[in-house]
Amino acid sequence: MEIKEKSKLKSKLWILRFTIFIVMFGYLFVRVSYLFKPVDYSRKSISGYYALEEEIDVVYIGGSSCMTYWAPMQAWNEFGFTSYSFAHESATAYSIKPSLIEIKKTQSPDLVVIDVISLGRFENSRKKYEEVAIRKLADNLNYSLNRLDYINTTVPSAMDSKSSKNQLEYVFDIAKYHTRWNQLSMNSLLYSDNVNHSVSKGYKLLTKVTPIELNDNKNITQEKEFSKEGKEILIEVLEYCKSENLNALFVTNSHTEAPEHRQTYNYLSRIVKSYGYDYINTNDYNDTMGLKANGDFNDRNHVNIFGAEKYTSFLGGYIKNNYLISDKRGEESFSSWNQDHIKWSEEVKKAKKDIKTN
Amino acid sequence: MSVVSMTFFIFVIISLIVYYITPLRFRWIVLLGASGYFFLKVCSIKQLAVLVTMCLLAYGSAFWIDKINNELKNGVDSVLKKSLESRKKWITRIAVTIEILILIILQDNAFFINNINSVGKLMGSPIGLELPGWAVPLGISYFTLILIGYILDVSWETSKAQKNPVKLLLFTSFFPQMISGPLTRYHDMQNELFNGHRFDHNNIAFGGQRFLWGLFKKLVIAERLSVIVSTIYGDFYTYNGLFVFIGVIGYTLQVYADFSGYMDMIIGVSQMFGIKMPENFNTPFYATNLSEVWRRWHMTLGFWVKDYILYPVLKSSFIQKIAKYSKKHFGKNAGKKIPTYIGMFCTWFFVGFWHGGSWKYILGSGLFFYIMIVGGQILEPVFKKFIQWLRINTECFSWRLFQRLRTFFLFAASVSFGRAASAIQAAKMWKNGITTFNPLIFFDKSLYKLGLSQENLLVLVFSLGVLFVVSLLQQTGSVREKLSKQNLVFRWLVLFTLIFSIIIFGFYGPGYNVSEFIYGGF
Repeated sequence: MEIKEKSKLKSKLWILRFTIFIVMFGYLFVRVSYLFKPVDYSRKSISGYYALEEEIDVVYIGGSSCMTYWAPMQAWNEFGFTSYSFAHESATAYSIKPSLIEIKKTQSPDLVVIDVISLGRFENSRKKYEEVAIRKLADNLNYSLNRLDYINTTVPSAMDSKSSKNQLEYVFDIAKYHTRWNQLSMNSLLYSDNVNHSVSKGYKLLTKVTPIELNDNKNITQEKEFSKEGKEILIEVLEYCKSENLNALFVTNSHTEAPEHRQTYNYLSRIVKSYGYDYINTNDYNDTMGLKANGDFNDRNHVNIFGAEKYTSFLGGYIKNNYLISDKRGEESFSSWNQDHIKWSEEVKKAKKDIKTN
Repeated sequence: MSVVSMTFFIFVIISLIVYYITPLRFRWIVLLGASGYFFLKVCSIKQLAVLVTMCLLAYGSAFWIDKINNELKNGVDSVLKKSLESRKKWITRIAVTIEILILIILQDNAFFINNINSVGKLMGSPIGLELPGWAVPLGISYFTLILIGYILDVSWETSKAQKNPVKLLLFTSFFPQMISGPLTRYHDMQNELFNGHRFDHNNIAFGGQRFLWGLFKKLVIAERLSVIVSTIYGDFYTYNGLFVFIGVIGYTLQVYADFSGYMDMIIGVSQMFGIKMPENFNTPFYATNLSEVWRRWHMTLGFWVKDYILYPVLKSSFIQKIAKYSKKHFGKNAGKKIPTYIGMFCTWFFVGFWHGGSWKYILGSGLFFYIMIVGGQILEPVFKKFIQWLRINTECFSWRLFQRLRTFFLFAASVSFGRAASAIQAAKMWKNGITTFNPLIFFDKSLYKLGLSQENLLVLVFSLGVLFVVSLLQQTGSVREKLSKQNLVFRWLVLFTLIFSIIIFGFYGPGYNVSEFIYGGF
C-alpha cells in the first residue's frame, strides 16, 4: 500500500512539475517571440496601444492612411480628447474587424474611426494576399484567439506565390524572426513584452513634399458594387459594431482618389448609412481643410506633417461637433498627455526643419 | 510531413494522447493508424500499395515457412523431411529474391540502365534506355531489409511467423523508423509494438530530451554545416586545397549530426510511446580502426549485413568448397582468411550498393572500407614490425588519439564520395585538394566566404564543441541519466537552454529549406 501511495505521490509530483515546466516554457516562448520581432512603425503603434493607461475617447483604426494622417497629440492639444491611431502598414480590409476586437480588450472608446481605404481598393488590391500585409498586423498583435482567428482567415486565402500558406509559421512567428538573433539591440529589449509607450500615440511622421494630383470627384454619384467577398467583410464589420454598441465613423481620407474608387465609396457610404453610422470622404473637404496638392503630401497616398496638421484639425473639429466627447485638458489624470505633447511638439519642430522637397 | 516540422510535433503529441487513453490491448492499433496517416502524408496511395504488397508477400511466405517448420518439428520421415526442407528453402529464396527485385526495380533501376547505356556507348552502339522515373516509396530500402530479415528469421526459426498480417504491417511501417531506420528485428520488436505500454513519465521525459537533442544536432549543426559543404562541393575549382579538406570533414560531421540526430529523434519519439528501439550510433569517431567504426556507425545495418549476408555467404556450400581448396593448397591460415575476404567483399559491395545504386556509393561507402579493412589485416604483420622498430608505445593516450584521428580521416575520405555528383567528380575534387596548399585561408577571412557569417560560424564551432563534450560524457554512461540526478534548477536550465538554442539558432522556417535527412535518400 505504502509503495502504491508513494508511486501515486510521485506521479502527482511529476504532473505538477511538468505543468510548471510547460507554463514556464510558454511564458518564455512568448517573451522570446516578442523579443525577436522587428520594431517598425506598425509594431510601435500597436505595442503603444497596449501600453495605454488612460481612457481613450477615440480610436482610429486602419492602415498607413490612418497613422500618417491623424495626429492624436495635436487633437489632444486642440480639442482636449484623447485618441490613438491603432494602425499598421499595408492594412487590408481583413484587418478591420480583428483591430476592432483588439482595441475593445483594453479600452471602451466613445468613438471608433474606421479608415476604409482598404475596402475601397479591395477588389483591385493584391495586398490582401501578401504575406507582408498579413504579418503587419498578425506579428504585432499579442498572442490571443483574435490573432489566431485573423491568421486562420487570411493565410489560407494567400495567393501570392511568395506567401507561405503554412499557418503555423504565422502563429509561431518566431519561425520567421529567430534569424534576427544577431540583430538584437537594447531597443529590442524594450519590446520584449510587446508593450511600449508611444509619445505620438501611433502617429507616423512623414517629412517629404511631393506634388500630387487631387481629383474633384464630388460630382460622381454612381455606385460601384463590391464583390461578394468585399461586401461580406463590410457587413461583418458593421454587424460587429452594432453588436458591441460601438459608435463608429467611417472615413476615406484625402489622397489621389481614382474616379472608380469614388464609385466604390459611394456604394460603401450607402451601406454604412443604412446601419445608422456616419461616413465622410474628406476628399470633398480638401478646400475646407486648406489641403494643398503641392506642399501637404508625402506621396499620392499619404500626407506629410503639414497635411496631417490640417487633416487632424478638420476631422478633430468634425468629431467634436458631431459626437459628445468631453474636454479633458486640465484633468490631473491626463497630465502625462501634456508631457507627451511637449515631446511630440519638439519632434514636429525638428521634422519641419528637415523637410525634403521632391 | 517532415520530421522537423511543427506538423510532425503536433502529430506526435496527438498520437501520444490517443495512445495512452486507449485501452492497453488496442494501443498497437493506434500505432498502426498513426503510421498509416504518416505514410500517406509523405507518400501516395500507390506507394502505400507497394509497401502493403511487399508486406503481404513476406507475411504469406513466412506463414508458409512457419507451417513447414511446425510439420518438421512434429516429426516426419526422412523423405518427407527432405522434401519439406527443400520446399522451405525455395520459398525463402523466391520470397527474398522478389523483395530484392522490387527494391532494385523501383529504386536502383538507374544503376543498371545507366551502366547498360554506358557499355553500349563504349562499344559504339548506343542503346539509349530511358529511366522510368517511378515514384519510389520513402523508406523502401529500410522496410525491404526489415522484411527480408523477417522472412529469414522465420526460416531459420529464430522467430515465429506473425499470424496477424495487420500486425506485421505495423512492424514494417512503424512511423518513427519508416524513413531512415533503424533496422529492427521482428523478435525484438514484437513485444515492444504489440503489447501496449503503460504511461511512464520517465519515458516521456527521457524520450522528449532525446528528441530535442536530435533536433539540435539536425537544425543547429547539420543544416549549418550543409551551407559550407554545399559551397565547397559546388565549386571545388575555386574552393581548392585545404578548402576541400574542410568540405570533406564538414560533410562527415554533417552526415553524423544529420543521421545520428534523426536517430535520436526517432528513438526519443518511440521512447515516449514506451517502445525501445535499437541504438544505431555509439560515438563512432572514438573508433580506433575502420572495423570498429562500423560497429559504432549505423550499427543496425552492420548487424543486419553480418547476420543476413556475411554469415550465410560464409556458410554456403560454394564458400565451404573454396575454404577447403584454400586450406589444401595455401595452408590453414589461408583456408580461414580467403573465404572470409570473399564474404566480406559480398557484404561491402552490398553495403555500397544499398546506400545508392551508383558507383560512387559502391566505391566510397562499400569497397573503400573493404580494401582498407582487408588491406589492414593483410599488412598487420608489417605494421606491427614498423611500430616495434620505431618503438612506438601503443598503450598510451597519444597512440589512441592518433588511431582515432587516422580512422576519422579515412572514414571522412570514403564518405566524401557520397556527396560528390559522381565518383569522377569526387576524384577531381580530391585532386584539387591535394595539388594546392593554401594554409592562409585560415587567416585571411576566407572562411567567412563559405556561406556562413562570422556569427553563424561561431555558433557552429560552439555547437560542435557541445557535441564533443556530450560524446565525451557518453563514454561513461547515459547523459540523460546523469542529468536526471542533478538538481531541478540545473536540469531545467539545461533543458531550456537546449530548447531555446534550437528555436533561436536552428536553421528552419521561411527562407530555409530544411534538407531532408541524408539517410532518408538511401
